[in-house]
Amino acid sequence: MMQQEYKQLDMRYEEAELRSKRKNQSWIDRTWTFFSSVKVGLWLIGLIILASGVGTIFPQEMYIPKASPPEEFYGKEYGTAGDIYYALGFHNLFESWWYIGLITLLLLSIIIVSIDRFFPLYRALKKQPVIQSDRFMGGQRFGAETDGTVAQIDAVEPLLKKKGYKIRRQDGALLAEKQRFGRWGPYINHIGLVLFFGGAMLRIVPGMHEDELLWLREGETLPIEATDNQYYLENNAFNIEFYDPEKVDEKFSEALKRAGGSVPKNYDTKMTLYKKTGMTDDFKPRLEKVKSGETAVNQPFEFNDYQVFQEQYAADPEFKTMSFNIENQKTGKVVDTIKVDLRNPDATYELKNGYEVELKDFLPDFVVKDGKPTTNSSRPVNPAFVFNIKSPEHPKGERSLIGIKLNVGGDENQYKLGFAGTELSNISGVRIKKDLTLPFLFVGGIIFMAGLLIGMYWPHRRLWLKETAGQVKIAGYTNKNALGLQKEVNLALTEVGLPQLEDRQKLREEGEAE
Amino acid sequence: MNLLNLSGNLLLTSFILYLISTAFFAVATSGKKGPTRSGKIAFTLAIIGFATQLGYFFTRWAGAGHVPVSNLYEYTTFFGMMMVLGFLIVYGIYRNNVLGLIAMPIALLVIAYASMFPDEVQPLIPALQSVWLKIHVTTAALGEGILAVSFATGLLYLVHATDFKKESKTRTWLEVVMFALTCVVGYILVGLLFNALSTNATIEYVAKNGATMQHDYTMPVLTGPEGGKVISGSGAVVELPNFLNANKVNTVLWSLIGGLVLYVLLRFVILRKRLAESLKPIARKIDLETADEISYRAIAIGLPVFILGGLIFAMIWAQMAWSRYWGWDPKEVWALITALFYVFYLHMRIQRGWIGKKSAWLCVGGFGVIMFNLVFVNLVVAGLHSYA
Ligand code: HEM
Repeated sequence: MMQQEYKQLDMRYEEAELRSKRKNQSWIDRTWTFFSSVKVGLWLIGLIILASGVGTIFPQEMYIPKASPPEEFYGKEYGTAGDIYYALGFHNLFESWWYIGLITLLLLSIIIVSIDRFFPLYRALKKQPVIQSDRFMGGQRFGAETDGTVAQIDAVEPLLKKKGYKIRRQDGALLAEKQRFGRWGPYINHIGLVLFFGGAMLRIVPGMHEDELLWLREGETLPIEATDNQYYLENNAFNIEFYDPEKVDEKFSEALKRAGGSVPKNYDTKMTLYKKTGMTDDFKPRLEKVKSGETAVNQPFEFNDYQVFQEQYAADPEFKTMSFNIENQKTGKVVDTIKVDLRNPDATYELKNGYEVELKDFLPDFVVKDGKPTTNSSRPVNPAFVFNIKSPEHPKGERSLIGIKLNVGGDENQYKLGFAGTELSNISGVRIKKDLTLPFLFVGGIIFMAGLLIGMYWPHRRLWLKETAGQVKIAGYTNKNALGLQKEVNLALTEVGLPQLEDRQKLREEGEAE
Repeated sequence: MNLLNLSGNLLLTSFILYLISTAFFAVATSGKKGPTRSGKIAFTLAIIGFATQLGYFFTRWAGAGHVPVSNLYEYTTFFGMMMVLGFLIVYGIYRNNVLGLIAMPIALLVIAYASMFPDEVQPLIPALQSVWLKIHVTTAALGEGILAVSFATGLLYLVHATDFKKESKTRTWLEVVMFALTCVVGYILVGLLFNALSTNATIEYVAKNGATMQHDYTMPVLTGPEGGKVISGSGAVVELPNFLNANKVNTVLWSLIGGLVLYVLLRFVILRKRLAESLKPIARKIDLETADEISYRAIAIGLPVFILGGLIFAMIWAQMAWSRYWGWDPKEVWALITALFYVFYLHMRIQRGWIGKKSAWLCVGGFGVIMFNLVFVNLVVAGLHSYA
């Protein structure tokens, strides 16, 4: 028996001609060839891996403290390495032109390589002959030869059929094939990838994507810019609950101690959504209630194409109101109490018996700059007030500057304002999102995953048998799971007296002769 | 707290069962024949061990009130468990005892490593209270567990295919891999030793932002923070600039020292040959084609699972919890890198003919990427996922 020297055939494209492998190429052909080269594609993947890895050495720009400018932060924090990192654009890598460029090239490469190979492969698989040349059969990784008859081939046919193989016959020769669709797996997953990334890139189309962080105090109603101010959101109540290491959550006490602070258990915002229906005469929006609901972490509040996510909350609640007692310092008697709404303070507070308090000045975020009292911001973080108390004894009034741990002039006056309590208001940070690209990502993701599974879990299997001059030649092919193919067909082959498939691939140890 | 105690005992039991199982795999491979009685016993023990560890998992779940994959101790333990499952799946297909002799110890090493982290149950911040998180983490870990099998077979392939009599790059790099594994053992042993000696120290220092911080050392202090003040224990031998975490560097140094001592002992006193070479009699028992085939198969099965869990489910969860499916957080980036690395492997293999040795090296490298993401990214690069 003649044993031909085994040299494995390249079966990737069934020996079909690829455009990228043509000779005499025009420049279009050459560009095509460049992008359909797997070598180029793998370089791209390699570079993306490398760049992404480097991009995680130091934090990205979006994760550094808001207060520190990035051009200083990296150098200060990490020395020269940080400076280099910043200079090369790694601080904002994933939005840098060259990273996006790499991804774009990768996508181009995937599209072109898939077109380049799909059609020739499809045609080759569609019109494959039943009878293959000796060269072809001898070049398959799995094969065997023996003295035998067509009758044996006839006998093996039903056995293979039972295993799910599709059978074709010609002049006694046999081709058994199964799960050809597994060969399309890579193409399907490549299409899915392109759809996915294409979808992600659709974000740049106006109107596809809106993203806004809205800080809402309790009781406050604000327009949503992401809806062109057509919708308003009111924070009815913000609720936060912390883990309690003493009672309820005793089992976590050790971990809570290690964390060294309070850990939130849940937080949510009750809210009401309004639609603007027009303007009132004094140019205020006329609002119509749409619906009420709640947003909690992992449970966004939804309307139209929008979702409202509970994202954060202000670590320190803000003052909402402050109350003061008007006291007669001589008698110690409290004349009356006033309550100042810090967001909307009144100019005067009329009290009983002719008393009156004027708010001469309000400094929501009190500081002293260059020796003068002033305010740092308009948020009531550290409120201070200049009050003028008018009383029957002092019709022109007595002035004092009052704030937290602050009392200028109050002690010398007959009437003073004593602190009588505050109301706090939580501030909820909700993120309003509209992302019309998500369906593309979803469909792309499903197609990608389906292609991946098809390609990986359904190997293509083929078996050729032919008889010439009393000799039966057998060849087997699979693109994956060699053991599976052998197990599946060997039983059938031996049952009709044919030899088992032999694995002709021999891997060698180092130093062994090639 | 009863459930949590029971859970801890179940974990210990499964660890011991895995050890005995490994011993039986050793017996099974010492004979000449293929599948033997001892092989069956070893496999059965591994299954019982796995069931016991499942017991650990569910009792801890019941005790903590949430799925125990939310800190480094829990996640790493779970990853070890998934490595065992990955091995059981592949063993079910190929019935190869040699694989058990390598894969089981690697899983044991991972579980032992997990036990070095604080094991108390942790409360979950609201973002982590999501079913998608559970699905994401468990599926990703299963994918990694299956992928890890290819590391075992890749290693076996390389040891088998290498002629240790001759100087070669493979011989050198294999020894580097063995040294890395020795350092993990070194870390565990050193950790246990210093735990028993209670060599604690506390050093106070002023951080960049002006806040006063503390390092609580459990190992003797070699490296301390710049301008640190000793509160208790001994002072540092060397002071490091503050962007390096002196405590972590200290731990890494001790692991290297432990690894080195262990390596020198094994190499020059006990085995008296290269560690990789001492695996040769085992590796010989698996033929190169089988090792190569199992590696590829493990990746073909494991990669879709990993991509589904580590990327797709992760994106769904991130979209729900953080309102964005992708945020370029270091952990996310490294999950992407892991997937891309194995994609690279597949293309190299089918398109550029990288089978055999080159392919085996990629299998070893892939596990390196997984471990990097588990150990280094969690401990050193801080991000949203940073458990520690
Ligand atoms: C992140 C990007 C990519 C992913 C996730 C991906 C995924 C895959 C997968 C899973 C396979 C099947 C592999 C196997 O059966 O072992 C495959 C096959 C293939 N990929 Fe990709 N790929 C990517 C990028 C690329 C690029 C950039 C190129 C080339 C420039 C490329 C060219 C190919 C080719 C030619 C095949 C073989 C098709 C066949 O067997 O008929 N891929 N891809």
